Amino acid sequence: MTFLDVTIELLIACGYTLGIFGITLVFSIPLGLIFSFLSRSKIKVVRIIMRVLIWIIRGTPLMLQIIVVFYVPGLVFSMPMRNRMLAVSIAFVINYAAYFCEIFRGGIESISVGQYEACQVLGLTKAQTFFKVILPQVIKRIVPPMSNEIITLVKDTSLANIIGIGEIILTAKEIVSVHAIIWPLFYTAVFYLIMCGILTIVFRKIEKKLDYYKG
Amino acid sequence: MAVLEVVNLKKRFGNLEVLKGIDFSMEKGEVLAVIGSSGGGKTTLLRSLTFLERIEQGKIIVDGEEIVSEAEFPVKAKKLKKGETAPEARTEVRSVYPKDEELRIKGLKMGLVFQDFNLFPQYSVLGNLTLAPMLVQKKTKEEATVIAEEMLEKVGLIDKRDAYPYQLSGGQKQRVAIARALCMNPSILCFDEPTSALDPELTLEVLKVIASLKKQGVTMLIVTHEIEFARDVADTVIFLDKGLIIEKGNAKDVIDNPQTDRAKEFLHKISSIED
Repeated sequence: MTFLDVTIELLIACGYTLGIFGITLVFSIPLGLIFSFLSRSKIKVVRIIMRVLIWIIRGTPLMLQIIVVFYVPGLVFSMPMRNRMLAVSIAFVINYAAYFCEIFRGGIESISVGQYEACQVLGLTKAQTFFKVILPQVIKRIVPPMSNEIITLVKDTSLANIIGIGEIILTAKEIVSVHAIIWPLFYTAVFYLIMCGILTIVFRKIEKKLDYYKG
Repeated sequence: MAVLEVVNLKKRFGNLEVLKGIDFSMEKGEVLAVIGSSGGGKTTLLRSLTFLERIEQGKIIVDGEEIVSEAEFPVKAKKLKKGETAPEARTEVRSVYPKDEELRIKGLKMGLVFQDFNLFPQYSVLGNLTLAPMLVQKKTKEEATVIAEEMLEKVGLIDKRDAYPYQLSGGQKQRVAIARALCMNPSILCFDEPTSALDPELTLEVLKVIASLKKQGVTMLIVTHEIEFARDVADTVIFLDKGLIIEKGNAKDVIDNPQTDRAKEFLHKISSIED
């Protein structure tokens, strides 16, 4: 296989990688926000359930979670998961929502009570308070930890190879075993580096954009 | 008619009774200063009047409207032991608040300037001033801006309209906070120790603004440690100690000629520090 052939194969595989990345990002951020509300709920049972859920998700390997989501419906409920991409997406979305939840919770709790009280005496509703005053400040504070987590996500997509999704690592491994050449596996690093490089630049831009105020 | 009437206001935190029955009223244009040592209940009183805290008993009447009223509620009977006869059903008087949505709007009659300003850092000065008028009073951006600029003129900060809070000094922040509260056109503007987060030089500029608001007829209730200022600017002074008003009256009379030992002791200590 020529260098060009391998590059084309890996570029196609990039589609899966970016697919998992995009789906996870789009769904786990809102889900993480919902998780963070639930974990701050006034109802104690809800808080405890959330704490246990987050403990389980953060306390077990993502690879194991992918396997569970893919095989358990078939093994336990006799409803085999036919769509591999769906299984991976579910596992990734829930896993990343748990991590984002903790980042959001930390961000929300770092805003002083005074901001809420200022909104209250000015007559803002709870929704206006959150979306117009609190959330913008939270976003500014969580950009650095979020960029960290999102860059990790790019590399975590490689775990999808465990249930045979044709993402970059799996594709490279197949090339290696079929054509008896090892270098394509090392070559995958270039693809991850480019994707993470772009994200790093994007996040730096976002940080700069939010730099117009302090506090 | 009184702008504000407070009747038998009681507030407790758990077992700690912070306010033990406060009565006073304010007339339109009156400036009332609340003084007294820390822990006396000054801030709790202010927070109760601006609905940040809920009182257990008492009434709060603003512009003749009973925002917080009172009603009788049955007291839950204790479980009876064997052989005990049921006591007569008792009732107790408790404060009644309107629904949250109603209180949110009615509460606008009370404006509040915080000790530590609580400006919104992500908005410019103008943004801080126009946010609530636009969201709550449904004013257009143009209408809100006209009012905001008028208020900024009043506090002498029109040239800072596009600045962000972090670019302002403490005194300027506090003046913006005053303008922000004024934009909602409250019946009474309350101040929670407006100068205690400021150094003496900046204190002066905030006190000047408050004095000029008095000239314009703004009704103000000020919790303060600035005794000199209270004497010069306030019409009436309330001396709060251990949750009760122990002196109330003309500002100069109360401060220069306190009647109770507790007030004498407090004012003496303060003046010996200031000397």
